[in-house]
Amino acid sequence: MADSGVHVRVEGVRKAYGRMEALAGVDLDLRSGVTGLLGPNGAGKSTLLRILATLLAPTSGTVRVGDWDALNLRERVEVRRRLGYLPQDLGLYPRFTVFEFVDYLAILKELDEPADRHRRVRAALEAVGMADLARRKNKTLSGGMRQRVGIAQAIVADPALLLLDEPTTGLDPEQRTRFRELIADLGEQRTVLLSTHLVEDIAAICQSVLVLWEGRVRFAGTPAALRERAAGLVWTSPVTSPEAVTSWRTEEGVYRVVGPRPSPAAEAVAPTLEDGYLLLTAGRGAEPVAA
Amino acid sequence: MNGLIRIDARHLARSPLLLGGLVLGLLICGLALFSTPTRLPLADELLYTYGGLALGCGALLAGTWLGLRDEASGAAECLAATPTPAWRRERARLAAAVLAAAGVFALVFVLGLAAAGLAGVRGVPSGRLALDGMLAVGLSAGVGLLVGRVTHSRVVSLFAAVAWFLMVAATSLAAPDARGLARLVPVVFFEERSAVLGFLPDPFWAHLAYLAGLLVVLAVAVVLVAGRREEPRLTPPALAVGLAAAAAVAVSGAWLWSLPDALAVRGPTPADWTELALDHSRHVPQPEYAYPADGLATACARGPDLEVCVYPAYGEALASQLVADTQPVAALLAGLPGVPERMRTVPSSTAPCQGAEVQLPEFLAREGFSGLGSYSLLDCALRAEGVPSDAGLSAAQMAVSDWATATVDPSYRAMLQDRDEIVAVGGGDASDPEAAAAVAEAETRFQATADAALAMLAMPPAQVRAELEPLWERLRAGEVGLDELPGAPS
Repeated sequence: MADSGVHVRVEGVRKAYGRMEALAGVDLDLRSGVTGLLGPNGAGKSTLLRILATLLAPTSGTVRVGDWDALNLRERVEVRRRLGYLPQDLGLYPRFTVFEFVDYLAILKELDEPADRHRRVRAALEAVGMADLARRKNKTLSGGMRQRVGIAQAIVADPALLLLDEPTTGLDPEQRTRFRELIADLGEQRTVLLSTHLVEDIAAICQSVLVLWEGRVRFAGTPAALRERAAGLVWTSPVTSPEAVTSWRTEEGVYRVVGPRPSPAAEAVAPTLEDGYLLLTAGRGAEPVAA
Repeated sequence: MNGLIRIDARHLARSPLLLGGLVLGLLICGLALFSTPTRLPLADELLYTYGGLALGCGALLAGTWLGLRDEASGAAECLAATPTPAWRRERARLAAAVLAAAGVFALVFVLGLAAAGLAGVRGVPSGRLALDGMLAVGLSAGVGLLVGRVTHSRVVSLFAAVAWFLMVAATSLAAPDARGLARLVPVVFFEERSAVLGFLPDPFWAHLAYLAGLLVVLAVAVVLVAGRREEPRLTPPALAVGLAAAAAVAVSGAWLWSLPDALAVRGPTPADWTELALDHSRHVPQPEYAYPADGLATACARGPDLEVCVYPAYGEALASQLVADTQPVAALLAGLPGVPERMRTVPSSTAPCQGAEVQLPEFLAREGFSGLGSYSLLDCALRAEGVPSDAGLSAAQMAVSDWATATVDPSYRAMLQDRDEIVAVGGGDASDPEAAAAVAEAETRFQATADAALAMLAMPPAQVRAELEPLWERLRAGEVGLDELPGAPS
């Protein structure tokens, strides 16, 4: 296994597609551990991950991974040697078996010695619970199985930097739990950036969290700090309020309101990470920050 | 990278497109092989041409599929994030595509030859035809890969691949003598190929060099297309290899293009050849040209009165067959002046009678037609030295030829006995008096020669031969009449 993660520094990264600016000046500083990347659809999460994966060149800004400039054509190969990447819409070669596909990617990741490579492929498949299905053709796999194959290929070469774009999509609750354990383990020795819509995944395993919104980092800190931003702004109340950021009726028949106190009868409750995220993306306290 | 090549080649060799080409190739070749009386040096041509075209189509489509695979499956990003640059990935794929397609062609070739061998077809197939076919089919797969890689569209790729294949097939089959442009397609219809080729211009090695050069150029193109956004680009040595390959393609292609369609051959060196302005597929030796004893027809069989030697590609079985076919006639005439004692295959011939030797054109000899040896021996035995082969036989010569043939072939004797029925159904165009007169003359001549032959057949063969002996020189000179032949009414 890798001894440690890698230091990732992103400064002033912008990415424009024509007139549309997907990233409007992003600064990041990532180190070992699992960092969650939250943001609504279109916030620029996948664009940021693709830039970090050296697949996309930013319009401006710098990206360094360890000692290497990820935007330099010659140096990016060094970045890729340390990278495990799970794209959002991973496709698998349908006629390959699970083992063959991961083995194929392992060869591309310069694991040249067959015996060692096969051992690593088996270990990666074991880690994602696919060892028993190694001989299955990819085209026969369910969505969750395909996602696990994607994770296996991302970790097969023991990368120092792991970029995971929506990795738990399609996984059932049991698989998600197992996946969280796996990512948590990997994060002990690697730099992991986990992009997801699922706040509970981040709450469960991330040491830090970034919130990306409208192309900018709006929050960078610990999950506890994000949660604390909602302190005093989450209530249970018999009635809701038009000023609420969001509210919903719970099974106890009262409203859970995020926002200003909806009524004198409302009672303050402990905020969750999701409350903090919702308040942030609703615009309250969402000034751009350097992560 | 070897692992990549192995995995991709294995998948490609099992792809439905290539397997479809394999089945189609075997089917077409099977039909061609078992519907044509042939020998292995012809069987390999059929396998090369039809197998090459059928498999070339499958290989082209399979290559296209491979070129589109990353985008079609959605795995492109995943692969692009690995340290292996795109040009190296594509180079490995190209190698896999070429190896898989060439391997499947080799399988068709071997299976086809094995089937032909089991069916009793004899001879030695051409190794370089197999190599040419492997390169041609491999090149098709590579072109497909490049098409897929460049177009990024299944529909456009499919149309491009089909158009390319139709162009190759049409050029190859529509110009069966492989001249000009038709020599520059991957699968060339090399018709009437000599097993030895003698000293005549040989397009095969040039075509092999041309295909090999194209493959290298293709590899460079694939690397350039795949690596256009990457460093390092082509290294100087690789670029030099690419340029050398392009030069080889240009030189061999120009040579193939300019190769004459037909030559008048008056000797063994190019100075003795003249290009013929004829729509002719073969090189034509002039009547005065006798092939030298080139030592190439080394597969021989010997009978009591005759030795037959053919090119070793056809094996001694063909020589034995020709001896068995010809020996009875040779025995009838053995010892008479001018009767050949030897037969030999030559690349081509318009003057088969060369003293004691019959020079059989290779394309005729290899077919092993029944009666070819007897006919050729009699034709040479009955003509005086220097009489052109296209000059007709006299009536007496014809009668002796009929007698000799009918003596060893009962079916021919029966035909002579049925001469009246044959003449009765022969007829002619009554509306054309000139043609009708010619037919009538031929019928009269046939009746007369058949009668003379039957009269000789009524006598013991040894007696006929004894009575022919004093007439023989004059008979060969065309100076003997029917009434002088043995058995003629006095």
